[in-house]
Amino acid sequence: MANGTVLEARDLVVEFPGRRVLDGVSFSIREGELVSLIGPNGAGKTTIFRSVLGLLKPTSGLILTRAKRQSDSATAATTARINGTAATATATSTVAKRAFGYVPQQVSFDRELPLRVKDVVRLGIDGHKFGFSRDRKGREKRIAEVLEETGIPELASKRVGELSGGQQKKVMIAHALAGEPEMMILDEPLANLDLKSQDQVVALLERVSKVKHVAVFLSAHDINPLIPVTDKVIFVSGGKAACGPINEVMNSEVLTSLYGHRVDVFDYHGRMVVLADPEGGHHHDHAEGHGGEGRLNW
Amino acid sequence: MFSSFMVNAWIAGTFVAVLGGVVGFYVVLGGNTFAAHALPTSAFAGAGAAAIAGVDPLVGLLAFSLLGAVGIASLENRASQGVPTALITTFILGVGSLFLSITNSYGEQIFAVLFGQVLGISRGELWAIGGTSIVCVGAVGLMSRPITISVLLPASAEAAGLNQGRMKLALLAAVALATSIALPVVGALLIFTLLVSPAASARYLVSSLRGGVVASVMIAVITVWLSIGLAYLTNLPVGFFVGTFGVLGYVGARTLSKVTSR
Amino acid sequence: MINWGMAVISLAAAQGTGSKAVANGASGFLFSSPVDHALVAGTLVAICAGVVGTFAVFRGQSFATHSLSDIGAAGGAAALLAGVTPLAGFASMGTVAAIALESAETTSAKDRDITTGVLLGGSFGLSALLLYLASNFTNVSGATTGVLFGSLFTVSASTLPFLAAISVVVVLSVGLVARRLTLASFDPDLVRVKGKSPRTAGLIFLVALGLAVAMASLSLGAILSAALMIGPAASVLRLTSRVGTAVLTASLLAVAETWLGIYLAYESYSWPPNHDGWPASFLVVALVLLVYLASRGLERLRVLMGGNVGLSGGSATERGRGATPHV
Repeated sequence: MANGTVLEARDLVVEFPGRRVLDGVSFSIREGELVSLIGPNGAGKTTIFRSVLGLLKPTSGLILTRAKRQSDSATAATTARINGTAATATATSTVAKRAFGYVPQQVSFDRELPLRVKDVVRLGIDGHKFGFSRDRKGREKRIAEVLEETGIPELASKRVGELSGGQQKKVMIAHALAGEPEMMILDEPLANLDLKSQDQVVALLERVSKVKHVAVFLSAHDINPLIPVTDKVIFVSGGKAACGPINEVMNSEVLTSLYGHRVDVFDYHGRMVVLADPEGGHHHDHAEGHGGEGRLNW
Repeated sequence: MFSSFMVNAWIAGTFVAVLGGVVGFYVVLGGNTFAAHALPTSAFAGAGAAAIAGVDPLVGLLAFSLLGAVGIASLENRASQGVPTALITTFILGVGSLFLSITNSYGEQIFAVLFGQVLGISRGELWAIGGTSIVCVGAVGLMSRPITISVLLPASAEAAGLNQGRMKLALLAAVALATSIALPVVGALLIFTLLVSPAASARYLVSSLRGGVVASVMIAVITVWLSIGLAYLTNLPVGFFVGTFGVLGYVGARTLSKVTSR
Repeated sequence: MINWGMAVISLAAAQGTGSKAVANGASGFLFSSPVDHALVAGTLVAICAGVVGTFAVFRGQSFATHSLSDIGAAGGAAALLAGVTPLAGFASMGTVAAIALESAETTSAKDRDITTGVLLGGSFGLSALLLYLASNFTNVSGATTGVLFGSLFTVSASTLPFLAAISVVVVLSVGLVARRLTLASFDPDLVRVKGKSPRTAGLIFLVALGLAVAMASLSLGAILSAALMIGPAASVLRLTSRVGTAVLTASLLAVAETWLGIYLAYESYSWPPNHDGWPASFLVVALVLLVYLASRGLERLRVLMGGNVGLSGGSATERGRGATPHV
């Protein structure tokens, strides 16, 4: 694993009964990089995240992570080989979990939940720990810091259930950031947000990666709002993936080979439009969610 | 009203209320209302089993409510929407009615088992109730953060390495324990009221997690004190007052929060 | 009443238990009038349970169903106190509770369960009071057990017409709102778009549910009746996702489970330990749970056989809220 790399996946294969969801996916993510995982619904984005988080045991392949030791600032490179054996796979997941801050796609807070923004961020610091908390002062200081960094200090004492979708997303980013991860993983952070909130979340994530040097690994079904901030794109389709800078991946040749039939990529005033050849639609049956429609879902 | 046997009732009632307020807060936080109803009713069958086997009722209560907790935790998942809980509960209740038909030895006590008999608490029972309450509240306190994150942000909890199945079982086990302790005091059906109503009302009155626990406990304690006092004065069942104050408190808190938010 | 008895015999034979002992039992079984009444009442209850239960499970209302049955206990106790038929008490309390549940404005499924819980808790208080009064100020014996656990064998002939009438009302009103309920379980807005209110449909359904639960309370007892509403429907919905098929098979399954339960209860008079019969309610509830567990096992088997199953491995019907019906 190269110096400065936080996560590397090699030849990841994941099989569910009756179908192969990932079929040899490889990619790597470096410190402070913002990486967009793009692909149609059902292409395997969530499966990649679950494998990285250690929640799912890949059928074969290798996931390399660098764990951050909180006791001393020295970072140790930890590697583990997964060959489908339970013991090594578990070892990898314990390493993986501590190093990542995770923002799930669907979070719903009831309006009347007795839970303030502060409480959510506090849960991000030590929510997974048993026992009674020590060092209250340090924790409260950290909460204030994180809220400042995410630009929502004024929401600290608000009930989280009463906030808008965009504000809740920022709160969840603060929650994930509070544990000082070396990489943030965000599942569809822009889904169901209005354009203005999307912009704010994108700007926040850029600050996280560029100012705090925390790697940001996020999934989206539309690359367009992310074009200005994305360092690297991982495009998945039908269990295969291509990884690299946007212009190297999001072009007609690469996408055509991924989809197995002709795909055209156009630049329209700085926005990307991807068109699949309607004739070729029937030939690929691996990705659910889009059968033979002419335009893919973005 | 404060004669020696009433003193036992007051103390036992207070322990049960504190326990119900604390455990109930986490039950309501996760919306596990149905399970909180299921476990006490399961415990009811335990009383019958204990009567048949000739052991201490508390053993029967504990065994059956823990059995219910394991059953629910292992069969229930996000998608099954309470179906296993409903079927397990009714089955265990059915077992209870079977025991009832086999032995008549506890037939007369059935009302007490279901609706409670706070005035009949002995000194020995008081020690058991007090001790287990403290242990149970302490255990919930130690697990409070992981339980909170598991019920509110299941995906994040899982990513942080918490086993969701085990956390659910831990919460249900706490409910089962609370049930077994509280059953002699308020009865199988009304433990549920004490678990759910104070915490449900507290949600409307306070906005922070810690405040929520405190408010939930306070409401539970006040409910129990008022109920015991009124039951003594009117000679009506304690459960009637617990149930009534539960609903009144909830409606009051809800209305209050609606009025103030306007 | 010969037909019912014949049906039970053929049922027993179909299940491969047609031994000599069963035949003997069944012939006595046939000529017993409490058994006839129990069979008629049980059948009516089971049909309604299957019809209503399918939609209740579908809409994720297991807890509401269970609560309505428990709340009904307070009505049963009130009827006992007033000296009227328990059915009147169960039915009126069920209707009132259904209206209260539907009109409480809740913000989410979680909040709905919590509000239901608070109301349920309150009703226990009421039951406690009424049962206490009933056992102290009337000379009805066994008030608590009678109301809570019921007995199919005590259903009187005069109650049967009422049961039949309520069954008709229940089945018709569910039929009336079935399409809208199915649509609303995907998304209430789909119904609003058509200029209709999803809440009216929800209210009509919940009242039907209350009535069906009331009927079941009479036969199985207030706190066991929910099993028959939820169990057969949930078992069937694990294996099919067509609404029509589900309603039909759930009703048939509920009827079969009830008949077998009644038959076993009749047989149980020769069982240990006391030779005075096991409660029919318990036997029905036990059968319901067994069938449900079997259907889960069957479904898991299908997944392992490598069928085209989704990520979670759950069935299409129980994966999401409102399932995936094809009407």
